[in-house]
Amino acid sequence: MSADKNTLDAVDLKSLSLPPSLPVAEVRVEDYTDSSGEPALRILVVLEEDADVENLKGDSVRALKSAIHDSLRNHGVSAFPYIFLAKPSELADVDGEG
Amino acid sequence: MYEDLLTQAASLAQLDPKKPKQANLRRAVSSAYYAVFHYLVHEACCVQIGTQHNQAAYRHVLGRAFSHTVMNQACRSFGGGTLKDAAIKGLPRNPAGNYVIPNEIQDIAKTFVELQEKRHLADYDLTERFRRSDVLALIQQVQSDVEQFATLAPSDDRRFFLACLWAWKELTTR
Repeated sequence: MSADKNTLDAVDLKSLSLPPSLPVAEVRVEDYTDSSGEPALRILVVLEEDADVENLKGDSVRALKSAIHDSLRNHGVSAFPYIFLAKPSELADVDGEG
Repeated sequence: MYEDLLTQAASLAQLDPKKPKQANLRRAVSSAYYAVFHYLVHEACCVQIGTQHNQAAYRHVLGRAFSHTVMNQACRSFGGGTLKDAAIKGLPRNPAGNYVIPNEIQDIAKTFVELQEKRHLADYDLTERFRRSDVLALIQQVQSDVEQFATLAPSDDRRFFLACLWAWKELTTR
């Protein structure tokens, strides 16, 4: 299910202050119900294909996710955001068990 | 335990880098979750029992009392940056009237909630497809949050958070 405008505004790439060390191409969001039955958000952060995920720093990951949490909070969105990261090539690879 | 579980998660996530197996990524997520779970339980038990080697048996027994659900509820509140008035009645507030939760606590609390959900997906939902980028990021996130939390000086805020990991349900329903 698609998220409301307030939520979409909160995760707009133009308004998010993201760390340069983790280049982001796109942020997608949808309404979600988590395993405990709580209303939540499922957010997919699509990284640039050349993002160096082998040498990710925890500080960068935290900065990226905190920016999303903070923006949602500032927009009055209280649902917990479950944030997933992926490269375009990983999203395209849907065949087989792997 | 925490270090070994996180090392295990990293080893699994690094297997077959060009075509990682879903089974390995799923087990990596699960290990990363249990790494942060056991870290928080250990820290909470150290506050209650003590940190000496000869107190380990008491810590291990007490650790069995922790509930994943209660810890999730506590972490959801601490990670959100504000706690219900009923839970913090009488605690010190800032000039704006808020009980201030240190960032070190908020960050590890948010990570716990995120990882518990992903562990649930990893262990039970075969429609979910895990991506290596996400799993590697989670592992780094856990390591960084734990290192950051470990630098937090002993304080009432830290002890209160760790106590809430087992006392939250009773604290918020009275």
